[in-house]
Amino acid sequence: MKLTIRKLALLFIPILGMVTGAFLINPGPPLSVSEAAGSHFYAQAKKNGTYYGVWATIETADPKIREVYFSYASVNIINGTKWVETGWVKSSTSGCVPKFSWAIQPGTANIIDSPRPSVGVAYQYQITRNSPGSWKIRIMNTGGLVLWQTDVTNTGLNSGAEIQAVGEVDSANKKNDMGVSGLLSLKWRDSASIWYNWNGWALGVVNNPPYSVVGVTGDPNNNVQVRGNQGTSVPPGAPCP
Amino acid sequence: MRKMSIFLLAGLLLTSIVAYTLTRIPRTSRGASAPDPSIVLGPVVTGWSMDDLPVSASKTLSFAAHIVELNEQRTAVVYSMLEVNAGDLTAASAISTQDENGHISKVVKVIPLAKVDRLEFGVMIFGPRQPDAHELRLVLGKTNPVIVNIAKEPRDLQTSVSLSQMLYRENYFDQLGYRISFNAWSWFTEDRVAQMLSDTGQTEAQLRQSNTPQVSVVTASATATPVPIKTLAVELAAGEPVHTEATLRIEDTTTHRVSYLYMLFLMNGDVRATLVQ
Repeated sequence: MKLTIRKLALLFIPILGMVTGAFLINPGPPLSVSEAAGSHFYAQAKKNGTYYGVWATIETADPKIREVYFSYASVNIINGTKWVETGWVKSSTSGCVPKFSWAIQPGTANIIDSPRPSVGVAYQYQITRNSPGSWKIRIMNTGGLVLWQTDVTNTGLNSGAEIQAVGEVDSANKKNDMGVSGLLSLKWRDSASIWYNWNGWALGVVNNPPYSVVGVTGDPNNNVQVRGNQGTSVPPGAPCP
Repeated sequence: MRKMSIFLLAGLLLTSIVAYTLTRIPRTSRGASAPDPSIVLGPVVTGWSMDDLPVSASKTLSFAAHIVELNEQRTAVVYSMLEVNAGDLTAASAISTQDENGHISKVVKVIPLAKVDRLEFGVMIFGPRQPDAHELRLVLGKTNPVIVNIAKEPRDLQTSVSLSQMLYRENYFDQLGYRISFNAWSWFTEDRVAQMLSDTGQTEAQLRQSNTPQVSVVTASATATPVPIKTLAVELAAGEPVHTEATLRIEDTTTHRVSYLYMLFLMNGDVRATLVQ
């Protein structure tokens, strides 16, 4: 085959495009801390007691992000001003598909670039205590295969006094969808590493309308759905955003 | 010679591209996570929970609180009650909430919901709690008032009054031949407390061995499929937007016949209920 300059140029155009950013998702301008504070709205299911772990299967929704900053579905374990949380987040900087994430106080998101969740697919999110002040976060598929895990040091957080299954948006004008996602098979763990069903939950902060949390028919005490998308259902695979 | 030049040029270009691409790869390797200061996560803690025993069984009054709603508009208490001298509590001045600092909030409204034999179910509506309150109790009656502790918050927390929350009583309460319990924030006809008491727990290995970590997961993905509004709710709401549903389970301890008090908390503040046998 005769390789001409013209053919070479045609070969390199897409590569050059990708490298120069023409085919990359525009990450947008950097955000200041004050901008990032935004306005947060919630749909919380919560439980108070003494906990050494929390576990939920969370469906990956595809909420529309119409303004900074994000939509988020997560589970967490809290004691006073300290916590550990994990879930998926879709933000104005994460592109079209949500990403797995985790955080401890003061709340800066730790974004997991790989692996990434698929919209419409559920994943297990588990937070367990290794030892006082040391916690393990695991993200698994529904078959229990560990996709990602890390150990987190959070000195002083020795057990949880509250656990939550939460939908959240940071959206000053409530323009962002929460999407519609199930936080299912809710479980908590005791000090002997035994897992129990939640068997009930209180409504924490719920900013409705438009955001709400409801029990899922059949087993509403162990399965909740968080939602709020201004009546505009966003099917899996909907175009970005 | 010309071919050689083309290949040299191509090689040079490829090398440049590879070098440039390497500088563009994020520093996080596959599987790692990176902080994104633009996303500020973090839960909001609402430390209020219902008192362990929000009940009273005196000579003159049998009372149990089942649900407490706290928000910046009001404090609301769903109760069941038998008043021996009927009418003592009908005067608004005879019912109030009080916090640990002595702040009193008179009842604004009582909404009757249902009657099961002599047992009355209803909702007492009060003004919102004070921002510095950590305990709430009901004061029922003027002379020799009955005090019922209904909700509490740890002293080291102070949840903003603007944050709404709805609490429930965890266990059964036996009252005048009926065993009453909060069942769910939904229409639910199984026995939540029995399920809770029979849950002896499992290790993760046991859960995996029995392949039941997802035992209670609904089969179909609920993503983008909102849980439908029940016919019962549609009829009861009559077009008013709903804040939340709730079900109380009421079991006759002699006949074991069970009835359910299905309630709707509406966005307009109203509470509606129907007794389902």
